[in-house]
Amino acid sequence: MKKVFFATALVSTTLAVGAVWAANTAFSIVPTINDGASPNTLTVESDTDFESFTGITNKISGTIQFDKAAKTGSGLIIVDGSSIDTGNTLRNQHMKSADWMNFEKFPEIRFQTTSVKNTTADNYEVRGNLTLRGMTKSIVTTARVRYSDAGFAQQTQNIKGNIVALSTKFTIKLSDFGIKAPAVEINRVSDNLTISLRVLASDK
Amino acid sequence: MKTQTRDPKTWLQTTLIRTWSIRLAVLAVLVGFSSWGLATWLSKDSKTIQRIMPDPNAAMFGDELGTPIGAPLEYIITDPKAFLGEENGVYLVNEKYLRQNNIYPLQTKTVWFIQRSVALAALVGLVLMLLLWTVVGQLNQADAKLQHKLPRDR
Repeated sequence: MKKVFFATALVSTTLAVGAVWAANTAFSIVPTINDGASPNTLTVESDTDFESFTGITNKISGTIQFDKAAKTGSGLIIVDGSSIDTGNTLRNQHMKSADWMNFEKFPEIRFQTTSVKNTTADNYEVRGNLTLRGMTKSIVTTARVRYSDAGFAQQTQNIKGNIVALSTKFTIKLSDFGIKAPAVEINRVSDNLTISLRVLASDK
Repeated sequence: MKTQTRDPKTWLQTTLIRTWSIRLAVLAVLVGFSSWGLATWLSKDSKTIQRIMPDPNAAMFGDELGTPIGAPLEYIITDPKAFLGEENGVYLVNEKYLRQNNIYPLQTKTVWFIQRSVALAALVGLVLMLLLWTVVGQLNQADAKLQHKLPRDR
């Protein structure tokens, strides 16, 4: 009887360890693809009374843990904020200054998930900590995570390994991150900043 | 009792000020209406546009064309080569083409912001010129009355 019990316990433990292994599949953000371009994009959108503008960067790194079967995971995304280009040299300089994003002192934008919950199909509710200007705030957003097996990614884009494609969009308030520029306070520049992120990560 | 003759220099100055203030007031009205006309003319090609950066990996994200750059906005883009197509009334524009050709797309919002600023400046100018015209006119009249009352020779 004892033997049966121990055998059952051993099998259960092995299966549990297997499940944990499956849960911890790590995907690294793919820096470049076959043509040398980055497949990752971060865009920021803001409104002024004069125009709406967007800033773009491809300098994104990080890792994503994804369990395809359990539809859960976690992740850390790091963006080089100082490389965001708004299409206007003067505005780029302003953005980096201490009154605004202060990328001169804190060039990184970091997002670390704290919980990930599948809602429907490829859609997830993601909670996490966003660090900007050296300040960390918790945010809640929705993300879409699509899994492509190695064959598809290899055939279409010559990317090795299985792929997860993550896309998310959320809005933050500049004032929550200590930005008190006069233009924001008199509403010439919107306090809301919309951030969109798309990254490809591979497990190879 | 004879009235004292007014200083011809002062009379010339006030007349000139009144003439130019009314001319500038008319100019302000013309500028205000012209700004509205120009903005309307420029906005005739305005479309709701979604900028798209073509991306060969779009299928992996579940998209057809590429990465959307910002939200759909009203733009004035006239180069037909920049357009990728249209979906539900939103025109898709190739961001890569815009960047390669150094096209910074003009927003309809910007056109009307400039129009409002010009119109406001014109309105302020109009009010100031009319005020100047009125004040100088009243001063002129008061001066004329004063000159009329004063004895010419003691």
